[in-house]
Amino acid sequence: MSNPFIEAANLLFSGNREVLFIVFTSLKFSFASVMISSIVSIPLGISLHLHTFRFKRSIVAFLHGLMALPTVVIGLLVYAMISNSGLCSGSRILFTPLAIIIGQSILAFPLVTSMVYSGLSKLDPRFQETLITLGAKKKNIFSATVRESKFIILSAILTGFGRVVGEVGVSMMLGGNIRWFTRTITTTIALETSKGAFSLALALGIILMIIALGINFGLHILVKDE
Amino acid sequence: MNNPLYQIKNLEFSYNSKPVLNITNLVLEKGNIYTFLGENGSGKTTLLKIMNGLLDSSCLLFEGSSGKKNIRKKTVYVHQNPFLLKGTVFYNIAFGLKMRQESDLKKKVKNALKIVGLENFEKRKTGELSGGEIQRIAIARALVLEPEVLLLDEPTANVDKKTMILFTEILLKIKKNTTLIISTHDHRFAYHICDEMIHLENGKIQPHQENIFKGKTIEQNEGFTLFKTKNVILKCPAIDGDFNKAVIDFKDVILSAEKIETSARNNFSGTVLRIEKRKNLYIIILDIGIRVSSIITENSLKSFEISKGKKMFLAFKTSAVRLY
Repeated sequence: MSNPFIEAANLLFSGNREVLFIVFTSLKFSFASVMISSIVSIPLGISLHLHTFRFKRSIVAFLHGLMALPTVVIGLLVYAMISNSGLCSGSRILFTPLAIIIGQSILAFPLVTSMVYSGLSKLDPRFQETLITLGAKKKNIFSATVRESKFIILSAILTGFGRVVGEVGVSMMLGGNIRWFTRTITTTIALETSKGAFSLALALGIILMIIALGINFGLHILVKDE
Repeated sequence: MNNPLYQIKNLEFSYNSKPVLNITNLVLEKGNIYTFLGENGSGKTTLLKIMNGLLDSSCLLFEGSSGKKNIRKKTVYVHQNPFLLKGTVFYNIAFGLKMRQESDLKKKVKNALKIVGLENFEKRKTGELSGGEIQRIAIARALVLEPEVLLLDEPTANVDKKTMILFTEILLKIKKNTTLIISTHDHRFAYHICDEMIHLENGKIQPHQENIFKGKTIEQNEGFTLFKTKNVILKCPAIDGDFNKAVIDFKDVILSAEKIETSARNNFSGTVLRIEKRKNLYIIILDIGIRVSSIITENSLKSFEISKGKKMFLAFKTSAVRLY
């Protein structure tokens, strides 16, 4: 009987096409979903920081709550929307990359928003006053905040990326784990492990760990620079 | 008649229902250096922020109007510990100019840096600057906008003596075109730089209790310093240095109806210009070539039969004069 660790090492270093495809697919979906969610999350996080309004605390608390939402619940909700019996039944996107990206975007949204908001709350309170006294208008304050807090924003994006690249519930339920189409690192690990075939799962597990460590290392460097 | 620069009436301000300011009346004119002198927590910073429109108050008129637009355009506030934006000195100083869509940024930034004595600092990163340099860059960043009013919050709080002297020079230099309103708890700096001093205590403006004379020291003689004001020479304690203010408490000025021999070296005669009641006491303002105020009781007012236009004598000791 062959050693799964040796086989995993072979898969890693031989440039196996399927391994490369799965890794690339995972990174592609995660990157797309975190970028889509950032388009909404970053301006929302900054706006929450800059403005005071009624129910602000409730909204922030709600966003914090959403961070703990299990991935399978998000998967289930989106599934219910896009399946043949759902509200968007005609969309025909179930078990496609788009479905995964939608689910992962929803997953990343509260995390990135909350990270941006809480990161900005650590900004020096003199920052906004300085901008105002120098004559900055609302749009100037917004763009200056983005510039001043680019590391905060970048680390929120990286955290969001780390969250979606390692999730399995959304990808499995909405992507269907279709080979050469929607199969990602995590869904492959789940499938291969259930089959008792550990070599591919181990190889992908190692890659996932490298990605996770790389993100953490990147975050550490950013925090250090700050 | 022109509107005063600032007019504040019945201003009450609280943070989380804790009152921090209660000002009945305050009028500031253009072209002066005003110092708000008071301990920490006396409301100086809050007042400056209101005067810059950073905090809201409907009890303030700026050039006769209560709108914020004018205030924001014509006044700039500099924090006690100024905050510099990440990036270069040029980015910081040019920031306000860009906000106001002005041109000739390079030239204007260069001029502003020259005023604060930091030529060729344009490309320096803000993270590489010392505390004193940060203060000066913040002043340059405000000055470059050519504000009518510059509001400085404790500008000398974190600087050494050498930088403080430099600051004083810079501020006196920019006074020509800008009204300066400075908060400080440093008595020496406050008296030295001010045209008018406003004492703040627990959020309230305290009535004047001292005479502040502008002038200069001219010579040291027989163990004292001669300080020349507009029309009068005062004998002051022998202290080395150049001073531009002599300060005497109202209570140290002794009034008499006739000339009397005392050990006081400063003896003058003058006429009563005005009498003001302050609680149970009276402030007598005399003209001796300059205006000098003294504080007396109601009994003294009656026994000396003091009235407007009456000739009186006054005396104060050399040691009663503080030089700044």
